[in-house]
Formats: sequence, C-alpha cells, structure tokens
Amino acid sequence: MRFAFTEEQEAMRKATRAFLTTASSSREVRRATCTPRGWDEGAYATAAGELGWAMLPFSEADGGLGLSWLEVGVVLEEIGRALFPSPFFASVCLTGNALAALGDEGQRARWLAPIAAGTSTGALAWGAADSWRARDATVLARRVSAGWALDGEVPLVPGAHDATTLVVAARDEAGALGLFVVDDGDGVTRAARQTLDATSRFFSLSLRGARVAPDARLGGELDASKKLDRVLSIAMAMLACQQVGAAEACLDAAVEYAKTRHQFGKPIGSFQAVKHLLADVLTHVELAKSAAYEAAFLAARDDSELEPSAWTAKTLASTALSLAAGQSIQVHGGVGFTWEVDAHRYFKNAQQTEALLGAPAALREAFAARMGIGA
Amino acid sequence: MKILVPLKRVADPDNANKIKIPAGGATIDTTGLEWKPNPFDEYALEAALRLTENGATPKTRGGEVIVVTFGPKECETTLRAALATGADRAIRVDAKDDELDGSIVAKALRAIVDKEKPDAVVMGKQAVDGDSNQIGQMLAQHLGWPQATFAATIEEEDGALLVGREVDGGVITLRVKLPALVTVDLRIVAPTSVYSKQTKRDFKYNDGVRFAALPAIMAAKKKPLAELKLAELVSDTALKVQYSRFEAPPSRKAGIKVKDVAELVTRLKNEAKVI
Repeated sequence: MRFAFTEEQEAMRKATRAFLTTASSSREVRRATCTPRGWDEGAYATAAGELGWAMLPFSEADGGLGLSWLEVGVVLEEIGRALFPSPFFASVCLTGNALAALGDEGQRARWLAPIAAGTSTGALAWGAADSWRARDATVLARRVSAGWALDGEVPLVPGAHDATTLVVAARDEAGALGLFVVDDGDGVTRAARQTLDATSRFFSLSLRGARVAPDARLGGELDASKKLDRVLSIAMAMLACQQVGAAEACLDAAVEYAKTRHQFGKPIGSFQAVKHLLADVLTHVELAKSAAYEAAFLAARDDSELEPSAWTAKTLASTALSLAAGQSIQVHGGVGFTWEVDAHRYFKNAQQTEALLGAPAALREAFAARMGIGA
Repeated sequence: MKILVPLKRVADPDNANKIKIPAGGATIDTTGLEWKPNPFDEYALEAALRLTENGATPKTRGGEVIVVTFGPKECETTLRAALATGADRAIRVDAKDDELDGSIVAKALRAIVDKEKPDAVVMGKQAVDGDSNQIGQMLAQHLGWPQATFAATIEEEDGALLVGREVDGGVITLRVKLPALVTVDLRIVAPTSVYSKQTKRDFKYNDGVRFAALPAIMAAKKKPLAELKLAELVSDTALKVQYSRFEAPPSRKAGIKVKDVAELVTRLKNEAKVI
C-alpha cells in the first residue's frame, strides 16, 4: 500500500498554496474579515469555481470532478495554513456532503451542482455546533398539507447567514430524522453571530412553522441518522486536516522567529527552553497529521472505521493546534500578542475549531464508551 | 498561432541557503534542493497562453502552446505543471544538467523548431540561476528569425507581433514579422500587456501568471508529453562553456555599534574606505 500523496495530489497542494499566498496573505485576510460578509467574494469565486476546489469530491454527474475527500483534505490543509476566510468548509464539507449523501438526482441537480460550481454557498444546521451526531438534532418537523413545517432553534450554524442553500436536520413525528432544504420565508430567521475567530462565520437559526415543500426533504422519508452521522464524520476529518495546516503554520512561524530573534548573543532557538518547547509542538503536529491523513483516507472510502478515526483525528488536531498556537505566542514573546503579528488569529481559530464538531474531552469520552470502558 | 515555450527548472531562490559546494569547488551539490520553474519562463508561458486565447470568461483557446525542457526525468514535474496551467503538449529532452550549456540548448531548440514549425518562440529573457541571458538571442541567430528581447507588451497583428520593450528613458516598439522569437521581461504579465487578435482591447487579465485549476491538474496527466534524446537533436555535444570552479560568496560579518557620528565617519573613511 502506498502511504504517500500522489504526484497529482502534491501538484494540487502546490497550486492551492500558490493561490493562497496572495489571496490569503495576512493583509488580505485582515481586509476580508473586516467586510460585512467576512470573506472576499471574488477570491472565493476564483477558488471554488475557476480553480475547481468545490467540485473535487462530487461525482461528475453532479458537476464534480469525481475525486475524493482525500483531495479535499489536501486543499483544507492549505486553507488552514493560510486561514483563508471562506465558506468552503460549510458549503462543501457539510452542505454539499449532505446533499451528495442524501439527495436524489433532481435534488442534487438543483442544490448540489451550484455548490460544486462555486456559484452558491451552503449551510447545514444539525444541532448544537459542538455536537457531531445526528441524534442531537433538536428541530422538529411536522407534516402539513403542503409538505412540512419546521420548528426549533439552532443557536450556532457554521457558514454565512445568507448562505444560498440552507439544509436543516429535523426529526419528524414518526421519530425519523430527515434533512430539509429550507427556503427563506415566513417563520425563518437567520442572524449573523459574532464569534471569536473572524475567519469562519456562524449564524443563529430560528424556525417557527417554517414551510418546506414536499420535494425538499432529501432522500425521502427514511431515517437519515446513519447517513448524517457519516456526513458529520467526514466533515470532522476534513476539519482535522484544516487544523493540521493551521498548526503547521504556527510551528513554522515560531521556528522561523526562534532562528532569527537573538538574545544573549544567540538565536533564541538555541536555548533548550525554546527548542524543547518547539520539539514538543512538532511531535503533536506530526501525530495529528498522521491521524488526519488516515481519517481523510478512510473518508474517501466507504469504511466503517471512519467514525473512530475521525474522532481521533479531530481530538489530536484540536490539541495540536491549541498547543502550537499558544506556544507560537510564547516563542514570539512580547510581539506575540500584538495585533500586527498573526499569532493571535491562529489562537482564536484554534479555540473555535476545537469546539466545533466535538471538543477533545467529549470525543475522548465517546471513544472510551465505544470501546466499552466509558462511565 | 502555434507557440513554442522553452522552460527551465531552477533551484528555488527562496531556499538558496541549501546550495552546497563540495570541497574543491568542482561542482554544485544539488542534493535536497527544491526546484521551481524559472520565473521568466513562467511569464513566457502566460504570454503564450494569452496569445492563443480570446481573453474572455470563460476563455476559448485558439492556438497551440508547446512547452519544452531539458533535463532528467524529474523535470517532467515542471512540464506537468505547465500543462496544468494550459499548455497543450510537452517535450522533454533527456539530458543531465552538466551536459548542457547555452550553446547546446540553443542548437537543440533550433532542431525542435525545425520539426515543430511554430509561428513564434516565446521564452524568458534569462534563467535566474545562471543569469546568462543568451539562449534567446542565439536561437534567433540560428533560425535567422527576427527577435524582440525584454518584451513588456505583445500585441498580435496579422502575420506579425507588435512588441514593446522597456529601455532606459522609455519604450521601444518593434514590429516583428512571424515567425519570430520574443524573450519576455517581468511586466509581460501585467493585466493589459498581451493581446491576441481575438482579445478585446478593454479586457484586463489578472495581474501575474494564472493558477492551475485542480481539474486541469488531473487533465494534464492525459496531455501528450514526448521524450527526445539530446543526441537526436545536436550532433556536437561538446560543451562550449565549462565551469572551472565554484565558490560561495563570503559570509557577511556581524555589524558593530559605533559610539557617535564621528566614529562612524572615521570607520567609513579608514576601514570601509567608502568615503
């Protein structure tokens, strides 16, 4: 078995990094995150559309490229490295992923194809943002004469508040979980939420008898819990790849600074207190990277081991990023917590992504329970 | 229009500190070096792509761009990257780096031009490793073609190229009849630098070279990449240029602090001898 990326995957990484070097420079990120939308629409249109990022994992019939989540993981690692502010994760890894898994041909043509083409954005509301399981869905669906009516609150939904396609997980009167594409209208309120990390956006969703057409329930009336769990596991693996990229960026910045900043006539990186600290970060980042790559590899296959692998990857990547971001600030010393140095942006991203789709403590607990050693 | 674009891989200038010179200085140790396309060659490819499309969104191709490089098998990465960017096909001339000099490459390119019969050769003005700036001029001489070097703008006309060259004090505009050879400078990738006959004059490109789309990277696998032997192209493979010795530039000494302006002036005068 080959345990390395192919020449094409490496070429994709290189091309993605080349684009992000200018499109997601520190200056560009600061500019874009200060706009009302929170990202540069032109840059996202180029990346998702012209450069084909959004089409990677979807089938050619759905307007995709027919590749896999492993290639998406490569792109996300670079997105994390550059902290590219964009709706890519919410649109492709959550919404597009759900539409591909559950939508019928007509539904995929209507909602997935524009996401794959980069011409529309998406958001998936499944429950609390720190949950990673379909069983945590809180919205209720009841049958009405012309389809369905949805009621409930989702306090934090990843993505843009004005995302074009909104998919909501809701439990119907029979107890079956369904995914519904909700159009804006009476009973639907979306409000942008200000969160710690400016590079990813969230909104709150309130549904009060929101009407959904009969053909907007994805995949019919069968219970979608298992499929949604897999969708969320794939998203978790992708988020871990993004965190690994961000952690590497923190480590690279800290190492570079330790080589150039002199104290007592030597680079600070020559002092044990600094070099051991950075070596410790490196071991965490490498461990997380291996776990994230394995999860992305399994996400690319119909593998029953994806779920625990994704939990492991997300746990290790969250831990590695938090450590790398925090220690990067420490190594940078006094300038490390200034606005001008980017270390704080990674630190905020670390805190936010750690909580999204399962915090490490909760995931470890779930893992222990799965192994039969939980409380 | 059919355009031939020679490409060269060079050691990544951002990692120049990785270049090692073994004791004796007979060669450069390239182990562990990271390679990237010569930036001026990337600009030439961008110019060639602009000359063979209509400059609309989405673009329609109206010609053929062939990229060619000289070197070992690993150089195919450079060619695949060019194919992913938009080139139509590629040629690698199999050769070791130490078998090549400007004269041999120019003669081999002439043989390729004779075979491919392009309307133009568009290439970087020089490679950023050797900075020789000679292959374009030598190739034009071998071919007997008109040449326009250091191009900052190119406009396609019927049977000719209108080339703007930035020189001290202004811009010289040359009209070269096709077939012709053009070497490009860095401003060739500005938004309004290159226009094919099909591109509207109010169209503006993005500044810089284009990025490879991910679908194009996959499609590049299927584009033709031919391999030629150097000996098939050049009968005399004796090197005209031989390097007798390499040595690294002296490392910079640490700076010193001076007490006052008077000491600074004294040191500049007596030690640095610059005033």
